[in-house]
Amino acid sequence: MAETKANPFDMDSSSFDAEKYLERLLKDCSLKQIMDTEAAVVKDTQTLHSDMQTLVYENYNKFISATDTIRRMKDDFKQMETDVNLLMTKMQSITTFSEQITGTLQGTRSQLCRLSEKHSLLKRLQFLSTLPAKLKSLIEEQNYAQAVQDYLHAQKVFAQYGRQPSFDGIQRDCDAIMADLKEQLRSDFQRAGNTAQSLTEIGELLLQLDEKTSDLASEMLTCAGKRLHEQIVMLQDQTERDMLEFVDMGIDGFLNDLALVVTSYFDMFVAKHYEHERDDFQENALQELNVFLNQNIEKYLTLVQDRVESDIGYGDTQVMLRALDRLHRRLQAMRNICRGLEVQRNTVSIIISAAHQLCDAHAKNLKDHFADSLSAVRLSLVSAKSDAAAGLNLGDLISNLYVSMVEKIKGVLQDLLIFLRTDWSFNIKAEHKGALCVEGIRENLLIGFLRHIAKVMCGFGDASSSSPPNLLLVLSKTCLELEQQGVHILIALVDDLYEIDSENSATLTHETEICAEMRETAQSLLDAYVRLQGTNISQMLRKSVETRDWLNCLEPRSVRAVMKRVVEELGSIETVVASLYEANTNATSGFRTTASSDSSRKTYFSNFASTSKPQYRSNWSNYTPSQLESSYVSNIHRLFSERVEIFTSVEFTKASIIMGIIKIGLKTLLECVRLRTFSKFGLQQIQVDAHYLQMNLWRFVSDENLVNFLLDEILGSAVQRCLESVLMEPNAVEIICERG
Amino acid sequence: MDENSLIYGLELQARALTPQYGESNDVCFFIATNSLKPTNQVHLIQYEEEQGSVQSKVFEHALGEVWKLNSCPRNPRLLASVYNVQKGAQVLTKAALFTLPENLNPDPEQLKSEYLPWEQVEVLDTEALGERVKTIEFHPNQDTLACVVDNKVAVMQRAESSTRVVAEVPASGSSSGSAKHTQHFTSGKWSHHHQGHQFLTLQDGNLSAYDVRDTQHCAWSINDAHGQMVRDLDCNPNKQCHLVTGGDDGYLRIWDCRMPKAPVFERSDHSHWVWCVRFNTFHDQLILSSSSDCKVLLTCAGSVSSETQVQAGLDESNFSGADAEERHKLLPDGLLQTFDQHEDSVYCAEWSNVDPWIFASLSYDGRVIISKVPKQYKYQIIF
Repeated sequence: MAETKANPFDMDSSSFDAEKYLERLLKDCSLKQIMDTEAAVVKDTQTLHSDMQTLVYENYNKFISATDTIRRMKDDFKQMETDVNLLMTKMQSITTFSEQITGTLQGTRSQLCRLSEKHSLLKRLQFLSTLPAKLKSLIEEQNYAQAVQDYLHAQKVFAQYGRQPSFDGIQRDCDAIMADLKEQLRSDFQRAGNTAQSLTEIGELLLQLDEKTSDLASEMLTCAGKRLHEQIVMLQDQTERDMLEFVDMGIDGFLNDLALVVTSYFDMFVAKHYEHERDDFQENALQELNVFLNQNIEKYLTLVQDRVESDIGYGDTQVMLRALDRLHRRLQAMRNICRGLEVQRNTVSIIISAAHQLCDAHAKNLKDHFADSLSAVRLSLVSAKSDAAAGLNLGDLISNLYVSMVEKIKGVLQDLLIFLRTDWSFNIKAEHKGALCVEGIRENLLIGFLRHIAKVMCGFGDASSSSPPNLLLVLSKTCLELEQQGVHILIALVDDLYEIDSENSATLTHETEICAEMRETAQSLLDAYVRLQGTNISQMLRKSVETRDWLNCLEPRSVRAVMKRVVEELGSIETVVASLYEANTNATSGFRTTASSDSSRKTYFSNFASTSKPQYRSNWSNYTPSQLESSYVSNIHRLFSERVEIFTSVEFTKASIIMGIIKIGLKTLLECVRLRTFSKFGLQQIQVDAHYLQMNLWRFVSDENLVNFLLDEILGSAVQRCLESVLMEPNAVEIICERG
Repeated sequence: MDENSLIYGLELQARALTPQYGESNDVCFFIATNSLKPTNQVHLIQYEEEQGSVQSKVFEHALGEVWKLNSCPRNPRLLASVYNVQKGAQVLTKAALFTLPENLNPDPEQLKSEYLPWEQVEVLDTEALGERVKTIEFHPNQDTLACVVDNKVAVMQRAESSTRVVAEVPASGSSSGSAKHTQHFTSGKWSHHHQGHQFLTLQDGNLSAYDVRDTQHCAWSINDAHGQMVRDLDCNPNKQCHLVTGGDDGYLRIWDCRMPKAPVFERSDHSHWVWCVRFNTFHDQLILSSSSDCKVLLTCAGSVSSETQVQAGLDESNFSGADAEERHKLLPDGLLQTFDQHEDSVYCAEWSNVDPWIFASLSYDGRVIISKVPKQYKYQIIF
């Protein structure tokens, strides 16, 4: 019904307007509603009325009880007032009593104070008087630290009361004892047997005892120096231990002591400031420490280096490097500890020199191995009796020699790679010397060895050394293989393994240099081989011409045996050479093998004869004595032909090698023929021989013309040296030759 | 053709050449032919430097083909030749002494043949010694001949009117059972030193010196000097104990006979056997060698010549250092010049005994070439 706050129609609100309410009620509502409202209002009024009556009654009761209480309180307060008055009087009496007592006790208290003071003084005096004895006992117990502590304690007292005669005595005693102690400490300090630990302790004590700092500093260093020297000496004797143990011992003993000494010295003398020392004492001390440290490290590292030098090449490199690595770490750590100090010498240099040494050792090894395999090759060449068998295994020998050499070098290179392993704490290549060393592996070890090979092999080619011809051939071929492959492989390998940039380096030997050297060696060996084989053939021919009586021989019926021997010899040389130097093309090689079989030779010969006969063979068959008389024919012939070089370099082909040998042999035959005089049959024998050679030699060579030219010369000379130059019928010669 | 050389041709093969040692004014050489055809010849050629021409006198060598010629150093008219003769089915090598006539330019009308006549021909009696005479060597300053025959060396004293053998040195091993092929001497030469008491012999690859005052007294020897046969040797006329050898290995080696183990100098410029080696008499750093590779080589071996010492001495005493160095820039050791005008094997090459800068070489085809040391080397040596 009542909607708003300020609703004048709300009976409960304060702004209720009864007139308006009635008015609206009457206006709005029906009678019934008015009646209901009237009843409700009456009812409410009645309820409120009764509520009000109850409340008034209750409040009345409460008021009466409160009045009662106030009345009772009034009575109680009166009683309390009397009690407080009583207390006041009592307190007053207590105060007076207490004042009385205080007055009486005043004197005793001051006495007590004096007494307790005296007591403590006496205690101190007792401490002083027993101090000498105590000190003695402490010293006997070796409890130096406590003794020094006590003494220092007493020192202050003495400083205060030192003038009194009784204390003076005690002080003197103490001083004497402490002087003794000092003496003893000093001697301890100097005694060589001390550990660095105790040395440091004693040093501290002495410092507390007011020892002169600078003296002590230098003394400490000398003592420590002695001690360290002992350890060095001890280490020197540990030769039977392996490198790792050796270095561990050095680290545990020597380096730890050194580090201790250095750190304690640093703490004692360098880090602290001393009033009574000169200003630059600290600086000096630091400097001295530096010198000391470097001296000792130097000593130790020299020892290590000696050890490394004596070990290298024998022991396990890996173990040694592990040891050195450990040492390097330790020193590195030490360098960090001793900040402000600089350790000049470096383990890396030891490692580098070790690497150098190992290189040298390996180089020597390689050379030994090379010498061994060379002698093995020689031996197997000597033991292989038959040429055919030797021809088969020459290739094997070469590949053995070559492969074992290359593998050995590879092994060594791998072996040395250990110095560059990444898990080492040191990095050789970082240092200039180290880099040089790594290049040294390339230059001295590899290149040096290759050069050595070339040199040694060259030595075999010398005319004076009597090497078997096949050895020369083997070595020459080996050199050639090295030139063609090995050098490249090895140099590429070393450049790759050690990350050397040789292409762009001015100082490093270039691959081509070595290749050229190898090729030169191969050439000279091959030339020596040709010369040697040529000489062998020459000797046969020379002997055969010199020993025969050419004036009194019979009409030739067969080719002389020596010519067959020569051809056979050339044949076996050819097989040997062919096993190493295959013919240029497959076609010709196939052709040659068929040609070497007996039956086909004839056909090829006839082919050959038909093609080249007019050109060359006509020379002899058409010779008549009158023509031969004047040597114009051969002279003119010579004018138009190339000059034949006999002892010259040959190419690396079978044909060229064989040709070189044949040339030497035929030239010898020519010179020998010119020294003899022939009868008719003698001349004819030469004719037969020459024809036989022509028949058989052409298949060995690429340029038949040269052979034919030389044979022409031989026959021409024989004609000139003949008393009765009548040549045989060419047909007869052919028949004899084909009969063999 | 090189302006420095002059060619003289023979019609027959030839392998003997020697300078006329007794002649002291003109550059003269003897050449003899080596042919089985009837008439072998001995040519005396004289080189006329001004005209650049060669004058020749031709003698007949009727005894046979000549293998070796030697001229007497004290008598320009005396000549020794070694020649082949046929005796039945055998060829013997013998030796003869020839004396030139006093007058080398007789009236042409008086001549009966194309050849000049010899004044005297004396065949040496060598048959008792052996079948093959290798060489007849005139003693440099005595009237003595050394004769190398087969495995013997005989010394013939000519002081008396006839020759006779005073020393005989049988070759080692000649008495052994293998008589079929004993090691024969191949050549020999008097040593210029040792008061003319030593005779040097070649035997295959070995070189031995015999003292001729005694028999079988080998003074020293160099074994296996060339690996193969040693073809020729020559003594350094100005330096004791030094000698040069050439052999079948194509090497030229200089030895000090006090150190027979190794040569003091060696070169291998030839491409075939070295047949002849000669020291220059005046400037012994120049060595001439000829070979069957058809070449004649002039080699300098200044480091082992006698002039190195002499010059060093002079330098110290006479010249100040820099000046001397400039003046005496020594020729480098090694090959100086190759002469390759020959078309056949050159078996002989000889220095002239008169002019130190002229030499002759003879190839088998009969071509004689007279050449000079190239001027630049000549001046380098003189100044």
